[in-house]
Amino acid sequence: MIRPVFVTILFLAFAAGKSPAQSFYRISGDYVIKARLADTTSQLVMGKFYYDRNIKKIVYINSFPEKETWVTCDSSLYLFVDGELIRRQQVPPAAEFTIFHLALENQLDHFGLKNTFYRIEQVKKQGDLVVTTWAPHKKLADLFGRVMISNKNRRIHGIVFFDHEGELVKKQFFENFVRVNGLDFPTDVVEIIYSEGEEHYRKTTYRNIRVNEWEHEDIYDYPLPVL
Amino acid sequence: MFFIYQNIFIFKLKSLTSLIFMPMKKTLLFTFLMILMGPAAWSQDSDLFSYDRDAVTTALSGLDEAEAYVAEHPGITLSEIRTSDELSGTSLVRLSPVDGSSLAGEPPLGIPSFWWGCIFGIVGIALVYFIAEDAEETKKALMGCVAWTVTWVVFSLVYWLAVGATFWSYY
Repeated sequence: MIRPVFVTILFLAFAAGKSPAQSFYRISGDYVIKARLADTTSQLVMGKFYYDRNIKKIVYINSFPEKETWVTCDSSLYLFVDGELIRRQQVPPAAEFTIFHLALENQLDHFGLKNTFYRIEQVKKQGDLVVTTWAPHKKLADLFGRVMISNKNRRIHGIVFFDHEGELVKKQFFENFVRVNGLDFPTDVVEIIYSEGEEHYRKTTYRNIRVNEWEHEDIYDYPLPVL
Repeated sequence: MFFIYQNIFIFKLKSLTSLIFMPMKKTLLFTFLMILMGPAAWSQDSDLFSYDRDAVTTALSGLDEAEAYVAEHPGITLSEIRTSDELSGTSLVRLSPVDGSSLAGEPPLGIPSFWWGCIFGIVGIALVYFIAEDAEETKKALMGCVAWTVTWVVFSLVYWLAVGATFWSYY
C-alpha cells in the first residue's frame, strides 16, 4: 500500500519537474547592441551571452569593440582580457531582472514585479493590449515611480517607467519573438531613454538563441577570483 | 371638466415624456461625451506604448553599417579601426568604447543601486516595515514569505522521502 503511494508521489514530483514553468534553466546566444547616447556618440557591441538561472552569472564574451569578457555576479562586474582579470566594479545586483532570468522563469509578462513591493494599481484593455499599472507601496512613492506593462497575445509588449515625480524615464519594447525549445524570447529589444527633453535610443538584437544546452559548462560558471 | 382632464393628461404626458426622454438625453449626452473623450483617453495611453520607428531607424542607421562592416571583417576591433589609415575618415572611428555599465544596463525600474538588495525577500519585508511603518502590510508580506517557505519545505520533504523509500524498497 505504502509503496504505490510513494511511487505515485515520486511520479507526480517528476512530472511537476518537467512542467514548462520549471524546464528552462539556461540560455545563450549572440547579441548586438546599438546605442545612440546622450552625448550624441554611438556605441556598437557584438558578442555572445551566457546565463544559467541557478548560477546567476551573466557572461558576455565580446568580439567588438574589443575582445573582452564581462561577467556580472551578485553586485560585481568583472572585466577579463585573455582570461586575466583587469577590473572589477560595483553594479546593481539585478540578475533576477535581466531579460534572461525573467524569460527562463516565465516572468517576463510582469517583469518580475510580483515578487517586489510593487502592487497592481490598475489593469485595463486597450485594443489588443492589456495594460497593467504597477505602483510602489504608498510610503515608498517618494522614492520609486510607477511602471506600466503592456502585454499582447500573452507576451510582454512594452514597459514604461516613470520616476517618483511621474516623469517619463524610459520605454522598452520587446519584439519579434522566437520560440526555442518551447521558450518564447524576444529577438529585438528597443529602449527609448528620456533625458533633458531628448530621446536617446538603444536597440539590442539577439540571434542564435540556445536553451538548456549542455555545452560550455565552463562559461556558464565562469571562474571568478576570490577577492 | 373635460378641459381640466385634458390639461391633467397633457401635464402627465409631458411628465411622462420627461421621465422617458430626460434620462435618454442624459444617456445620449454621456455616450457622446465618452465617444469624444474615449479615443482621446485611449490614445494617451496607447501613445505610451508606441514609438517612432523611423526616428530609431534613422538614429541607428550608421550603426547598421558599422555592424555590417564588423561582420564582414571578423576579429577586427575598435582599436584597430582607429589606427587604420584606410578607415580614418569613416564613421567607424567615431564609435565610442564600451564599459561594463553598457552591458549591465541601467538599474532596472530606475531604482537606485543602494536599494536593489532590498526589494524583495526578508530584506524587502524589513524595508516595508521600517519605511512604510505599516504593520498590516508587513504582516501580510511576512505571512506570504512564511507560507511559501513552509509549502516548499513540506513538498521537498515528501519528495525526498518518496525517493528514499522507493530506492530502499528495491534492496
